[in-house]
Amino acid sequence: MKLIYQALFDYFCFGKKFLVYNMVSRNIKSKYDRSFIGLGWTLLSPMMLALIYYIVFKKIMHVQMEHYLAFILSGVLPWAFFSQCVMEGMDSIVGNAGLVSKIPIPLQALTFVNALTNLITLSASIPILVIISASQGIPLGWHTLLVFYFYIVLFLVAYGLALVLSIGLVLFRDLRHVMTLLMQIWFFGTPVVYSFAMIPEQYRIVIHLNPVADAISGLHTIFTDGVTPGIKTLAVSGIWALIFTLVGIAFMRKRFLGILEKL
Amino acid sequence: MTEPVIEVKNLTKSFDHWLDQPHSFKNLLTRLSKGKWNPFVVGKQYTVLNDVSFDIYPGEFVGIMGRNGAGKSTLLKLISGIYTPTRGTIETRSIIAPLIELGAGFHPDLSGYENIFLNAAILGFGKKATEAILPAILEFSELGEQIHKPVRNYSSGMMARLGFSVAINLAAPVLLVDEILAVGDAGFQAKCLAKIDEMHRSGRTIVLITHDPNAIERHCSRCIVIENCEKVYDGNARDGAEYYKKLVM
Repeated sequence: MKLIYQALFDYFCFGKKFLVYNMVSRNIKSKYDRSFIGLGWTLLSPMMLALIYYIVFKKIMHVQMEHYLAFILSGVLPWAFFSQCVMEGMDSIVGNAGLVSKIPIPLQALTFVNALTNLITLSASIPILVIISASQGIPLGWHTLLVFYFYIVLFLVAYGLALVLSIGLVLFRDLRHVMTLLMQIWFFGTPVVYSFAMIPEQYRIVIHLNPVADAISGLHTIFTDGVTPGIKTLAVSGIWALIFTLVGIAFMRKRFLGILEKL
Repeated sequence: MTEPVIEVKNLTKSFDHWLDQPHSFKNLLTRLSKGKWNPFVVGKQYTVLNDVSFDIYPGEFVGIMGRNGAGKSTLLKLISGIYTPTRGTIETRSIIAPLIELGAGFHPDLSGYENIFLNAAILGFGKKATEAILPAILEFSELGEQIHKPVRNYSSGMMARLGFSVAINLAAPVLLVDEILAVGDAGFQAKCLAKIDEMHRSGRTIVLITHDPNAIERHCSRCIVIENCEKVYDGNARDGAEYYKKLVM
């Protein structure tokens, strides 16, 4: 029991609150240039992407789906967060080589700080999603708060994965290119621009093996159907968050030793 | 007899040869296709430190000298826990603040003031400890009103001054100082050394790495010389400095 507590304590950097606070605020200040407009700037690129998908799928290809704008935004914004979290988090050891090879600092803190910074950016997307979906007449209510559940699931999956990849990148420097490719494949393998219901019946079981598929389709359900996502969606996404947290903890405890010599 | 704060026993450190390891998938694939790389065979190793032992007691001012590549910095990284020993043990019985690089993690867009907190947090200190020493940092750095300017506009000397002020004022009982004094003008260097001296007098333990035998002679109480991966001298500072001068001549 104590061991579990200690592992979680280290993994979520509870002992390093001052460090995490300072590094997150450094990231936010430098990224957003100390202004709220700056935050919008970061959301601008996924929103442009969403707009492009909207035009292509809705206006040109005439996809038969109601509230397609709300649908596409509630998929693309979280995905953009997830992919940025993974890609930036992967660089958290190699990109900070000058720091980590000189100062003893818990390595997971850097990945954690990155994921947390991105989570804060992502939370700025909530008002956008709420406004868009309310303007389309989708009922929002208490169940809308489940958005936080799915965001935290995405956060945990991204954090665990980024931690493993950050070690991988030290050993294999071209992992970056491999991951750029894989993230593109992953994007189309996830119900982001299409809905879970569009997937043929026989493949749906496979889609559950995609760690972020259920979280994103849960967000779709909240913002386009305006109902509580099914218990299966909640459970499967929760299990994936748990799995990635355990994998992250295992890697943190085993693989961080000696990794800095390979930098 | 007091217990040593740092106890290094039969410390050996070796690294894998860089060329023996694949560093990319591309490289891995070409090697596998040529049958040249077996992941289960450990490649050649080279030794950086070989069977080094010493104890450092509270209140000592120890200088560590050695030529470039002798293993001084590796030793410091081992003590501060960045590297793990290949063989042997290092026991530390106190909080150790490594001053291996000044201004680690400084962000150019933040002001000097904000960077103080960031830097202190990176060095492992909390909010209270940082706020307590804030006046001392501001005074020592001599930056005045400039402290609220972004660090991007600082000269490298100013940056070093700020970094040093943060690191030296943090209340760690043991300081590991690696050749950080190579930056800044002569006046600032003298001031840094004087400050380190003052810290030593107030009861802290200092481990200083330098190439300068004169600094060792002037400040240290003890000196360790490392040559060819091994400890070749451990004793009083004056003889150590002489020994080192003869060694490099």
